[in-house]
Amino acid sequence: VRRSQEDFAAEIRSHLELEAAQLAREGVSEADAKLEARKKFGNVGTAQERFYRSMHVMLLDDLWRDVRHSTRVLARTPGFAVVAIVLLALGIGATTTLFSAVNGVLLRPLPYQRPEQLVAVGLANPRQPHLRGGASAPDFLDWRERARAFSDLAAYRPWGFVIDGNGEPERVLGVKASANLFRLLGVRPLLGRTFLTSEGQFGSSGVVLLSERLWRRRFGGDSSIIGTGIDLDGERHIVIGIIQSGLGPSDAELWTPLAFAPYELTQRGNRSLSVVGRLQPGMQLSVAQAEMQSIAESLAKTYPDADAGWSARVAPLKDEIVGDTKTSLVLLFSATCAVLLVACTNLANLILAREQVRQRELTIRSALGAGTHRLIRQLGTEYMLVLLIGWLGALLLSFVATQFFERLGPEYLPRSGEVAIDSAVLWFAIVAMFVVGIGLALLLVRQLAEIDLTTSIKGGSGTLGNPGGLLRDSLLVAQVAISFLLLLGGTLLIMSFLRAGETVLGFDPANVLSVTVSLPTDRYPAPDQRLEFFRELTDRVQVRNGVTSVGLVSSLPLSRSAGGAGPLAELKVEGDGLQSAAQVPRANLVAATSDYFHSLRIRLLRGRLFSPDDKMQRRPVAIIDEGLAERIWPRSMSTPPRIRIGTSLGADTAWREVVGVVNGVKATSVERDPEPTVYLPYAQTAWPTMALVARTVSDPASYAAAVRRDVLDLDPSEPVYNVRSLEQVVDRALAARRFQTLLFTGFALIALLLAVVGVYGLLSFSIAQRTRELAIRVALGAQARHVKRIVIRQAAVRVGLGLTMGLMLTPVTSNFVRSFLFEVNPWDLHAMTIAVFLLVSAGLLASYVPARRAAMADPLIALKRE
Amino acid sequence: MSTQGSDQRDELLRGTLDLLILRTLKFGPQHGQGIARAIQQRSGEALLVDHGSLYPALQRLEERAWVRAEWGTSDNNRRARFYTLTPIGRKQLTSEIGRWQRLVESIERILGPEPLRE
Repeated sequence: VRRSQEDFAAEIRSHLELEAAQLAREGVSEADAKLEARKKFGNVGTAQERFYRSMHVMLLDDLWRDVRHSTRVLARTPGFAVVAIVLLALGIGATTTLFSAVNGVLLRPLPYQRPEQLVAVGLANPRQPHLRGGASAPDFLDWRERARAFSDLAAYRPWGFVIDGNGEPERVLGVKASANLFRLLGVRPLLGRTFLTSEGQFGSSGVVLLSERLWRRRFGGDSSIIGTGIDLDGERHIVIGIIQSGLGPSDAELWTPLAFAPYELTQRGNRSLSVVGRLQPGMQLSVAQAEMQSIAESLAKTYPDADAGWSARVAPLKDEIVGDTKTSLVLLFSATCAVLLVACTNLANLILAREQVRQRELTIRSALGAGTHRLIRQLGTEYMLVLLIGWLGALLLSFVATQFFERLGPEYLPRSGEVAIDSAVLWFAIVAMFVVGIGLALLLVRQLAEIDLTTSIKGGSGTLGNPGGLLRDSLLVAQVAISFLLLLGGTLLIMSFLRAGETVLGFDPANVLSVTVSLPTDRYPAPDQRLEFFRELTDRVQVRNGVTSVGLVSSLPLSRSAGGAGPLAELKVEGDGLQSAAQVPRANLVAATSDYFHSLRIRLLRGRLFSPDDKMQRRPVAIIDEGLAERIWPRSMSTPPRIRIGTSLGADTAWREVVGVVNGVKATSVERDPEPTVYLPYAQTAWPTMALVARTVSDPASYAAAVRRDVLDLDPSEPVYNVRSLEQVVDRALAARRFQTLLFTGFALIALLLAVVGVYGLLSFSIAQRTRELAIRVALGAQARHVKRIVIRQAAVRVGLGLTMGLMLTPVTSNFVRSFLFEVNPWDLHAMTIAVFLLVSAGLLASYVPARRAAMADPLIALKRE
Repeated sequence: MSTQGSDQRDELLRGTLDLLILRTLKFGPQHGQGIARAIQQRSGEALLVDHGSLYPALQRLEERAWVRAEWGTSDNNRRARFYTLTPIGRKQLTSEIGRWQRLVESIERILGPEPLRE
C-alpha cells in the first residue's frame, strides 16, 4: 500500500477537526477544543516521521547519507581516491581483458553443434616432427571407409580463387571442402543452402558459398545473388548460399565443393587435405586415436612408398585451432593476475596508511559515541564507493581493450573474432571485485579493531613504535618480489624478441618488393604461354628506373605455412641404393629464376646458378641448399649427385643433375632453422602462380603501383595480390612474438610503476609518522645526509628483502616463460642483472624524493606542528 | 504514550493497541478519531489511546492487509478516513484474542488468587 505523505497529513488534520468538534459538543469552548485536540494528539511531527519511516526503506536513506558523506570525505583527499581507483581499474581491467581472451579462445566451445565430438585427424611423422601432414585424397577415402569411430569425416583444403566480373578481378582466400563439411559441423547458412552430396562429384557443375563478409563487401549484401553465377578462376559458379564469416575451420571468404580428379586418387603422397571428424556419440578420443593408428599402420604396409613412416593423430578440433596460443594466453593471463596482486597490495598499503592517519579522528568519534557499527558502516561505504568506481573503470577499460583483441585477426590470435565481453567475463569481473573487496574488508576490520581510545588520543603518533608496520612492510616486500618476477620475464622475452629479429634469415629483405601473380590455367593452358607471360613481365619491370634486378619464385621466404603445407619433394639420390620410404630425404620444393637469388642476395656456395640453357626440353637440373647438401652432396664428393624428385604432381622420369648449392633460407618462421630445399629452374616447371621479386634502389613501396600497372598492361583481367616489401614479410613473421612481448612487458612495467608508487607511498607515510623523531634528531645535530641515509636505508632494506624473495622465486618465472624464449636461457645472467638493476634504481628513485623532503624539513616547524 | 499528572488512566500495554483496534472495528467501519474514542469509552475511560501512535499503528495494520481504508464522510459531515476489518483481520482478531487470554491466564496464575494489596 503506497500512501503519500500528504494523504497521511490530511488524515491527521481530519482527526484534529473531528476531535475538536466532539470536544466542542462536550462543552469545551471552540478555541480550547482545538488546543485540547492537538494536545491529546501529541507531537504531529513525530507521527509524521514515523509514517515516513514506515514508508521508506530506511537502509537506503542511510546509505544515501553515507554515500554523500563518503564522497565528501574522499573529495577532501582526492589523491587517495584517484590513485585507488586507477589501481583497481588497471588491476581488474587488465585481468578481465585477458580473461575475455582466455574465455573466447580457450574456454568457450566452438560455435558448432555438439562441439565436443569434433576432432581434427592428421598424420604425424615421428622421424621428422616438423612434417605434420594432412591426408591425401586416397588416404582420406580409405579413412572414411574404414574408420568406425566417426559418424562422419570431412576434408578441406585452402585455395586461392580469383573472382572476376562485377568489378576488378580480385584474389580471395577460399576453401575447397568436401560436400558434407557443413552438415558435419552443423552449420546452417544465413541464406540459401549448403552443398549437396552430388555436388562433391568430380565434373559436377560449379557451385559456391560466399562468406557474409565477402557478400557484403563485393556484392553489397544483395540477397538476389543466390542462384546467379559468378566467375571463379574463369569458371562459372552458381552462388547457392551465404555462410556467416568465421564459421568453418578456416578463415575463408568463399567455399566450393571439393571433388577429387581421377589423377588425384593415385597420389597418396600429396598430403594437402585437412580432415575434421565427428566422433560417434559416446566415443572416446583415445579409442578413435587407436583405431586411426591401426588404419595408418595397415595403409603404410599396403603402400610403403607413400605412407611408410606416417602415423595418425587425432586431436580435439578446438586444440588444433587454438594451437600454441594456449600457453601464450595463459602466460599473459598470469602476468595480469600478478599485476592485479601488486595493485591490491599497493591499495592495501595505501588504505592502511590512510586509516592510521585517520585513527585519531575515528577514535574521537568513537569516544563521542559513534558505535563501532556506525564507523564500520561509514568506512565500508567509503571503500565500497572507491571499489565500485574502480570496477566500473575496469569494465570500461576491458570493453575498449577487448575490441583490440577482437580486431587482431586470426594470424595473431585464433578465434579472435569470438573474444567479447559475455556473461562469463562479467561474472569473472564481479568475482574479482568481490575477492578484492573481501580482502580489503578484512584489512579494515583488523584496522578498526586496533582503535584504542587512550593511546590514540594522547597523541601517540608513532614516534618510534610503528603499529601495523609489519603488515605494511610485508605487503611492500611481496609487491617488490612480484614486480621483480614480472620484470625478469619481460626482460627475457625482450631479449628473445631481439634475438629473433637478429637471426640470420639467409636473405636480405631490405629494398625488395614482391607481388604475386596467378595465371588461370584456362587462359594459359600451355606452359609456354605462362613462361612467355612471366618473361615479358620481368622484362617490363626490369627496365623501370630504380629496379636493379627482378626474379621469380614460387614461394617467398618466411611464407610457408607451418606443418609442411606447400609442395614437398621426396628425393631419390642416384647410387644411394634402395632407400626405404621412411629414410627418403624430404625437401621443400621451390621454383625460381637465377635472378631470384640475386635479388634476395642469397649466396651461391658451390657450382652454378641456373643458366638460360636450363629449359623445358633440356637436361633437368636443380639447385639445393646447404642443409640438403650436407646429406646428399658432402664436400668430400666432387661429382654432383643426380636426383629424382617425387611430388604430389608426379615424379621425375629422368635423373636431374644438381648444379649448385646456395645458403639456407628460413622458409616457415624466423625461429625455425632453414629446412632442406630443392630449387628447380622456373623454365622447367612453368607453374602458374609465381611471386615476382624486385630489388629497388629506394623504398620498394613506391614501385608497387608501377609493377601493378605492368601486370595489367599485359593482361587486364589479371589480379595482382600480396603486394608487399620483404621487410613487411619479415615484420609479419615476427608479429606474434612482438605482440606477446609487448603485452607482457607492458604488464611488467605497470607492475614496476606500481612498486615505485608503493615504495614512495610507504616512505612518505612513514616519514610523516616519524616527523617528530626526525625533527628531534636534526635538533640534536643530525646532518641532512644522516636523515637522508636513515630514510634510504629504510627503503633499501625493504626493496632488498623483496629482491631476495624474488630471486628465490625465479624458478617460477623461468619455468613459465621457458617455452616462449628464443635462443635465450631462462637463467640468463644478463636478464637477471637488468631486472635487478631496474628494480634497484626504481626503488632508489622512489625513496630519494621523500628522503630529500625529510632532510629539508625545519625541525622547529615539524615539532610545533605536533 | 503519556500518563499525565494525577490522571489515573493507564498506558496501553505494548502490542495491545493492534488488538484493541481490531476489536473496535468488529462493530463496523470507523475512522481513527472514532476508534480512539471508542477504546477510551469502552474501557470506562480507563485506557488512554495516544493519538500520535494510533495512526502509525493503523498504517501498519493496513500494510498487513488486516484492515482496509477509504476516505468517506463522518456523521457530522466531515471528511475522514474509514477503516474496515478485512477477512484476514477478522481471523487475526480471533487468534489475537486467544493469545491475549492465554497471556492473562498465565499472569493470573503467577499473581495468585489474593489481591496484590498490602
